[in-house]
Amino acid sequence: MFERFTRDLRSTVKRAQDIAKFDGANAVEAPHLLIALTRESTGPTARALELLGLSEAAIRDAGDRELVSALRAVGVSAPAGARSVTSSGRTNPRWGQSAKLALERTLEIAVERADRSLEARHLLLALARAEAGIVPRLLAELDVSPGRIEAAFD
Amino acid sequence: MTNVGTARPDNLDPMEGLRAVVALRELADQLEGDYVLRAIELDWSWARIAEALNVTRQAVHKKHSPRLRAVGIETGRKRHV
Repeated sequence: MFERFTRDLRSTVKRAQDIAKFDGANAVEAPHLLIALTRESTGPTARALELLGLSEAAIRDAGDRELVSALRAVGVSAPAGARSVTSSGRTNPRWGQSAKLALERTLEIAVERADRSLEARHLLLALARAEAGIVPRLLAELDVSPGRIEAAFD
Repeated sequence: MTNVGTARPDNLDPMEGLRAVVALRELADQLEGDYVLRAIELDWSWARIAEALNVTRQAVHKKHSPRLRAVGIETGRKRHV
């Protein structure tokens, strides 16, 4: 799969690993990929993210709110300073399932569109395709629907 | 053992309930990292930390020593006693 990634997408994926590591996370997860995409400065994906208001700060804030609301749903109040990332000791985070699924869907989307190379925009659309878990809730928190993401590339 | 006073499963959307399970794991991991660090700062032995966490000393050492080293805390042999 990785051989069909453009150089830009490969560097986005690498950046997601660096972000997860810097955050002290156990695993690279879908939100790290989303944050990695926001660090692109040019190109259609950078423009789409800007249009949607998806900045790194906005995503991190929404992640913190989402964690608090996820815990509140089962009657647990998050302690002060609860973060949406964890740090339990891995210096090299593994690939979490949400990130693996997002990368698999990146390929699916490129195949559906008959695009030969895998680009950052395919990854963003792939992230929006998650049916459950943190990303749909994060995007809802940011008031960004999958449809709006698709439209942002038109 | 009493039940924790959480929302009842029949009142909760699985989308929210399952996300909450993951969030609780994240929270537990975060608290574990924070409190192991605190215990080491207070000079607890790995054996004592392991007993408090109800895991083996090897497990707790393997999980936490790389990160502690990364923040400059040496977790050498003397703690193994």
